[in-house]
Amino acid sequence: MFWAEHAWILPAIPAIAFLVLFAFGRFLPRGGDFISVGAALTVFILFFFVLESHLDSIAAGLGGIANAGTDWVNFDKFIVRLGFTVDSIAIVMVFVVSTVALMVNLYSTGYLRHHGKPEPRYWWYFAVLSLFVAAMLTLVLADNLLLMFVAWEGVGLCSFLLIGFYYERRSAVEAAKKAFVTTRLGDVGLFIGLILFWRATGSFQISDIIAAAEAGRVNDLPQVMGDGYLTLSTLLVFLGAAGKSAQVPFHVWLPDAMEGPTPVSALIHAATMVVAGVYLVARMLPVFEVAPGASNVVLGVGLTTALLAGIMALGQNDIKRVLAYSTVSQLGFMFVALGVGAVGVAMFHLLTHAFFKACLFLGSGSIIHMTEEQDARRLGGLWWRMPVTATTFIVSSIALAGIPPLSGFFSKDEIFTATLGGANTAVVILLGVAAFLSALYMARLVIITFFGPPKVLAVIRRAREADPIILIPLVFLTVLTFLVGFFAFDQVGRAFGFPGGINSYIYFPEPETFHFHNDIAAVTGTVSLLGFGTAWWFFWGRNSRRAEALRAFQPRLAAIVENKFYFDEAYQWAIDRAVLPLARIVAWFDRMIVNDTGINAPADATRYAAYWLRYHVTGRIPDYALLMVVGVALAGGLAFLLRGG
Amino acid sequence: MDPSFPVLSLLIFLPLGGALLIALLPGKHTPTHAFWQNTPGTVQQQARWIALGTSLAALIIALVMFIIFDRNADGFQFVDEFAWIDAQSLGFNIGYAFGVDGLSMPLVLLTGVLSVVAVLVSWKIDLRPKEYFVWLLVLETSVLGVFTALDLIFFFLFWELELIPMFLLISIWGSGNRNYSAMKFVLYTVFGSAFMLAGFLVLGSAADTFDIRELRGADLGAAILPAQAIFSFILIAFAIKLPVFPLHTWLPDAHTDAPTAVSVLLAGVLLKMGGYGILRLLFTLMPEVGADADLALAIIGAVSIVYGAIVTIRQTDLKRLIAYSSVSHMGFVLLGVSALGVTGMSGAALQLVTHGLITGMLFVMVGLIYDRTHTRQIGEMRGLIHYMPLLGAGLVFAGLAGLGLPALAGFVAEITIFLGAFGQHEAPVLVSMLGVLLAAGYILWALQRSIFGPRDEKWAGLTDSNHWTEFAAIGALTALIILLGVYPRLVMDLLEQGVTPIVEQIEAVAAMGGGGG
Repeated sequence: MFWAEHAWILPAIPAIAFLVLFAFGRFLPRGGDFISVGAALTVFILFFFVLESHLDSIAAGLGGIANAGTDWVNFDKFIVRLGFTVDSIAIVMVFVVSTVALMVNLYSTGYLRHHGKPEPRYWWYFAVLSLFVAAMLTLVLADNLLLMFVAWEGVGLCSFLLIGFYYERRSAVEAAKKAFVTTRLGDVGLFIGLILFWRATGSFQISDIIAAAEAGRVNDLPQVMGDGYLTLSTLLVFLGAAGKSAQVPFHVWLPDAMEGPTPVSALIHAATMVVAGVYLVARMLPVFEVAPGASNVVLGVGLTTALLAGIMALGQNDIKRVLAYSTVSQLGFMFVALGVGAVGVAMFHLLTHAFFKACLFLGSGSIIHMTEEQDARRLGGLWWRMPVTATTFIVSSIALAGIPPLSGFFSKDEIFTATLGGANTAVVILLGVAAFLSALYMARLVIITFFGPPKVLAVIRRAREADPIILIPLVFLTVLTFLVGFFAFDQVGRAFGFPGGINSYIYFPEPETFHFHNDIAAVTGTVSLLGFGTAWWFFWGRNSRRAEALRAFQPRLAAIVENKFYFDEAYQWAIDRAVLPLARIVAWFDRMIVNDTGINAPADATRYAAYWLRYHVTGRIPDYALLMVVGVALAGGLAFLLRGG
Repeated sequence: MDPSFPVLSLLIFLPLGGALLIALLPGKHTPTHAFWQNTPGTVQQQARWIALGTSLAALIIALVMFIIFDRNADGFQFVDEFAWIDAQSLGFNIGYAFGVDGLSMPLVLLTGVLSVVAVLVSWKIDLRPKEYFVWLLVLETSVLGVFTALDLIFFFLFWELELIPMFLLISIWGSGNRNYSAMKFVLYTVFGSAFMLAGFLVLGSAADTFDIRELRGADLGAAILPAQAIFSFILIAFAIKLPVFPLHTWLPDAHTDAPTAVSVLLAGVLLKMGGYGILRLLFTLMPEVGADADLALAIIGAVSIVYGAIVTIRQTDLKRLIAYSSVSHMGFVLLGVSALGVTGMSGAALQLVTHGLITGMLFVMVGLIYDRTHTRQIGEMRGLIHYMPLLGAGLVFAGLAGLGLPALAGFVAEITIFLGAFGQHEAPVLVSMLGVLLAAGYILWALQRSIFGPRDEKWAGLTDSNHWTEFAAIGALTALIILLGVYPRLVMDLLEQGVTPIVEQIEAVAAMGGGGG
């Protein structure tokens, strides 16, 4: 049990790497990138030690859950543990984080160079990357909500710093701020939520909160809200999850986050940080299930997101933005699975999605790095020039679209199976539409990027296969995309020492075996193929003539899709027309009413009064005598009146 | 250390001694030149080195006190006292009495740290350097006196003493509309002080003593004014100092026009005198009135937080922006105090310390940038980070700390206040959360517009931070902000020890059924 109990070593290693890089990075050869890569590699290797000790504990019948930690803040009623937990959900996440982090680290050493020369601030990039890995691992392993919140903000900070890595570009700085402030909106919800839970249970420990919720002890003290208190707290936590995982209506930050370097998009904005929301809900799912209505909100938000983002992805031409909307949509799928209570399924889709989406992003990075072009309409015909990139990209696209036997098929199929069992038919049909859309937008992207004639001569001339250091992670992730899907089967899971397939592993106290139905698989496979076929019909050859015709036929509808349902415009309008004018009015009020009228006016009045009153000091005795007489007369008159004469 | 050694008096009057030494330096204007013929340059050299030495010595004394402070003992430690005016026959006596407890010790240390930082960032002052450093050190003495006084009259004395150096520092070494700002600052504070003095005199004459230790729990039945009136009188002075809406408008003016070091001290320690006074005097001496006023305080706090944050959004001068954000952040102090519990009050006290460090650092960074660019207008500063990576990074760091990023000092104070106050006043706490959200908005927006963005050739000749004094100031503040964020128990335990007697007293009063009055 040593490694499972000392899992804190995992985040500690990249944290140390960060400190070293921060202090000395710029003086080291190669900007110290080997330190960051080395830390990621160590974490990757140590993960298997943790896994082994975790599996041993399961085999020994100890449940596989290891806790360790010490008090961080212990003050009055306010106790926060620096505590770490290793359980099956955490293991899945640590696997994803350590694998993708290692691949992205390797890839970045090739990507952040041009003609062999590192980009400016190369060392800073790797420093923040290490900090991110440290914060992400802390988030994953944290056993209490407050430590998780600290790490939660930490990954947000790294995301902010990396999105704004090219801070010469105004758009990058703008996007970084947008990402931070939008997720902050959700984070404030999470913050209130965890205070509400703390107030009801006196603890931040996730296990305590779950136990209290199941025992019906999450209530406000006078119990006026009853179950409403539990639902409110739960939904506030979900607000944070939805912000981080870019669910509608918080999704607007993620596509803009593509301003960051592409490997960052692969690591943070596809595989790890954005799934933190899914992870948080998965961890607290027992609470969501007890709180009346909470699961339905999760389901509804997930479904809406899966559909809307799928449609938005269709209207995008920037490769990375298509992938970003696709990520949003797939995260919606995971929330649907959580909404019907299938933790194992959600984590499975998280796992498979992490690998194929990271591969897709890194593939797009390979294209962008070589061609310096990311508008899919100006690419085309890359298949022959970049065979490795193209192959891995296409395989991952097929996996995303959900075509057997790639991993995305298994996980999506599980989501359908779970939804059929846990929600009504309308949900399943809408989800089917979303799955159809995934196949459609991925096929569209693949067709216009890799096939057809080259559109721009200069671009195609630059297109050559990238360095091996960029290609190795692509191939590795593609292999994983092939393999992880089979963990759905109990036999495969047992062969690797797990107690069964991923579903029975994650929920092994209450085994929930893989339910593979031929009928469902046939239907979902057909839906995906239908999506491919539709894309082929509309976009294959002749500059997507049929798609253009469709657009000309319904220009208004096309405009709505291309403008992403005007979400960004609505927010901008709210900020420009409501927040800033309000701030202007309040600022004016502060200056004019509070300061000039409230403070300066009495001061001025005093000064003017003094200015005029000084004229009674004339220095002439007759004046003083007159004043004296007037004063005595007034006083006498007053006394007369007061005494009632 | 020998317990009878007057270490606290030494600490308080050491800066004054340094000031005296600087004042006696033979300067350019001495009628009879001494044989070494001081030139203006060497006067500056000598003045700043003496100032640095004095403030460092004071810091070391404060640090030693902090370390040997007994964390298990009740009451005040390092007490220095003797009867100053003993006129018992006339019905009053005033004692020279100073001491520290868990509440004031961290604030004394904070004053020591920020005074050193203030000297460091004033290193290149060449306008009348002698007088400048004299007043800076007098300011330190007066603040230390306020934080340690155990007698109302001495508290008032040091409270007023602080005005003189502040007035001169702003009106001589300031910028912009400095005479207006200095005058406004003084008049505003004196306005509050008048009420405070009236309150003190009523208190003192009712209880026949001005000693805070004896006044605690004293019967105020003989007072010529109801306790609520005394409470309100004294509260006015502290509310102006803190400041809270609507008594805050002196703050943006004073901050904007003050020189960098004075802004640092103003935001870092002078505002804290208000929060300290509320805890030390109002809630210690009149717990029953305080316990009744909790909801009002929570509401005023929440309004200050949100109002300050909204006004901050529209500011275009970086210093003014930070000043308004201070209004917002000081609202948290009132919110924490209003919880009337150990958690909330310790959070409020911690907020005093952390805000001192964070806002102090923000002013240091803006000041150092201003020294180079000669502008603080956000719109004009674009792209600075390319030419000043270190100063830019420092500003970003301080900004992130200011918006309450976890693992940095501000977050710990904020969450402690929220946790403490939430059980008492749900609605004000929820409204205050809006301030946390807006803080992210205004700070990041300001950073985006001021230091990021494309290179701008007009900054091409400027240098990054390049002097050891600047490194020392930035490094010390950064380290402390991280240290308190990662290991808050360092001062949290002390603050808890300091507020516990106050809370016990409030609870005792509540148990008696709100009696006293």
